[in-house]
Amino acid sequence: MSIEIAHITKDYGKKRALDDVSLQLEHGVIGLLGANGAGKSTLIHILVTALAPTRGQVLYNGRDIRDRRSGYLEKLGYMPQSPKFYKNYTAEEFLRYIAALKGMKHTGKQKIDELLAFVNLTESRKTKIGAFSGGMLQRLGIAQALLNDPEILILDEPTAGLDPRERIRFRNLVSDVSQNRTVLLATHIVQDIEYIANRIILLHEGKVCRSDTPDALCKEIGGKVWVVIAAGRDLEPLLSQHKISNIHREGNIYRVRMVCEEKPHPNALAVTPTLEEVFLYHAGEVSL
Amino acid sequence: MKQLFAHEMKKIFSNRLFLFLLLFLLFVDGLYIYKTYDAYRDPYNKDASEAQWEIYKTVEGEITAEKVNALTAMIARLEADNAESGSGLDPSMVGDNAGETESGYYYSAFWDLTVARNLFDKLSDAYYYSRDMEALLTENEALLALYRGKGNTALVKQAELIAESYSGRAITAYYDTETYGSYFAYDFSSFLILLLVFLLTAALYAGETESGMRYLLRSTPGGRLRLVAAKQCAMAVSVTVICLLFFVCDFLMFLWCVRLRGGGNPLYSIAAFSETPLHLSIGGFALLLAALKWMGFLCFGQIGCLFSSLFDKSFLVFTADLLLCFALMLMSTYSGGILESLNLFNPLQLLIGREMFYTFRVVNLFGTPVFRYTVCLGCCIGLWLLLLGATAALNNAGMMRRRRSA
Repeated sequence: MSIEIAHITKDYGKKRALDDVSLQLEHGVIGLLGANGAGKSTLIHILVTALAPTRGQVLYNGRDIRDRRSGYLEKLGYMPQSPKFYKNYTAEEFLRYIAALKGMKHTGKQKIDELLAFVNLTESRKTKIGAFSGGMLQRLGIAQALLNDPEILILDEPTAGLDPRERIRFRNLVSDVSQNRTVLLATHIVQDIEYIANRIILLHEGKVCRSDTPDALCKEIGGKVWVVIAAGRDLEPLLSQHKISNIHREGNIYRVRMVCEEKPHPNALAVTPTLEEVFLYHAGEVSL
Repeated sequence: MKQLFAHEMKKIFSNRLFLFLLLFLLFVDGLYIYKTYDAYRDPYNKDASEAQWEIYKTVEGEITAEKVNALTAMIARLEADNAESGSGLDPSMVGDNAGETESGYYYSAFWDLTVARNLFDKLSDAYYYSRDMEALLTENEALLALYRGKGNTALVKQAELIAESYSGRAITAYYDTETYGSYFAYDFSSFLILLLVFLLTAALYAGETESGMRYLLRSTPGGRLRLVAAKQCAMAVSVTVICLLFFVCDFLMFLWCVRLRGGGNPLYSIAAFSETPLHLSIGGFALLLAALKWMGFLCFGQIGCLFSSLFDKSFLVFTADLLLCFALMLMSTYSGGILESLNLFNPLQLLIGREMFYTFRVVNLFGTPVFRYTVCLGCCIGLWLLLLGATAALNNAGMMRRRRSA
């Protein structure tokens, strides 16, 4: 199984959302990292055939997905951003509906039971979706995406609005399902993919600015991340001149972490970069 | 496909607000008919009505010489009574002799006389209907000869159609069919059904965007044409169910309030339809009118579906539906010129379809006169198919308004 994104460009009127994006998607978790408006959802909507690109194509096993849409979608699982689903449906009814949409004529109760158990929703199977919390909705979203046992799983901002406990739970869930399939996880939250992604694609203003393993991305900016211990009066010039990744205050002393090409202060110490700092370095901003 | 259809039906009918409104509006409809048409609420009217029915019973059914003679004799007797008492116009003087009056119900012989004369006039109209039609046909025959002489093919065809439509007509039985006239002219339920149809269709496609499901649906193998087909079938079935509920409610309420009589009589036995070109019984016409209305509601449902595919918010769809409906209402009030032709595509014409059947109204289609209702029905079916195609294309090809993605 191979997916190749070849020179995709997408324009909305005069605004260019994606600009000549080319990528190869392999097995494992691939993090699609970008700020809001970077073009992540547009790329995902093109991948799930909900939008047509202005130029370029997506190739599945060497063939354009528009030429064999049905066959491609049968191998695809997709979880949209901030799903609300149908308030009047129970979790079980909703999965049956998605199974019907996916053309699965004989979706056994067993399969639905397994998935509900997998996402820890067995006890809520008869509960109306309207009564679900954000975390439950996201887990149901994963369950519906896995119904057809897809080769490609696409998750769009899956942890948006979740509390830390649910985010950890969700990350573990994604890690579990990533074996023998391609999981593309789009997010602007670095922690979502920091520990589980095999590869990270950095998207900035519609262009791919980096695509590599987390370690390689961190090594790339080695020697460009610094820690400076500064008094309050010295802080202002540092903040205005450099990209700050973290400030920690201890009494009147500030411990400032920053990203810059050259040593920002005589007392600055080079430290090991984190993925957040990679994002900050390339995209110029970070969401914590 | 069956499963998707079942799910679409569930989405519609599991909406508690929709169900509540459906039941509430049915109740409002029934109450409106009761308040407007029930003569029994007023004791004065109750007696009057009962008196009329007592006399009416003597002439109802097949028109025979005996019935005509009996009614004529009754009128003569009542005229004599009135001449003696001379008090017919003063209801305050005649309260004690109700038992002595002809109907046995009302206060005075004068009322009975009025009712009897009224019945006689109607009976006479029914009896002489065939004679009036023959006169019309004779006149038409002369015109036909004139048109032939002038070589006006279109008018010749029209006159031939008149001859074909109005020949062999007779009313052989008398019933008080005017109550059916009121039933056919009742439009309030159409307004309520329209509201429900707009409410139903507003969320059909836009609701998927509101629940964050649109892209998910489009990413499934069955999320396009199959889903559109399921939604369209669900819309059609739901509109049919709503129509049936209201049609049955209307019929039962009218049956209860105004005693619908003579459903087997020809349509032209109702005064308003005396010149109708249709050869149908009143019952048959009621079914035809229901079918036309159903088609009209389907058209409006399809308009709602199209708007629902274009907008992301249900309330915007509902508002657009209402605005368009008002525009069509305004349009339907105009006649003549281009609007007359455009009104052929106005589905509102099907909801007030009875007006197309009052008189002989034809549209000249390439030199051939075709009844206006036939053309209007054809145009609305064409419009419906066009809207259906546009809705399917919008939802299948992803031509809906493209939103900027994050």
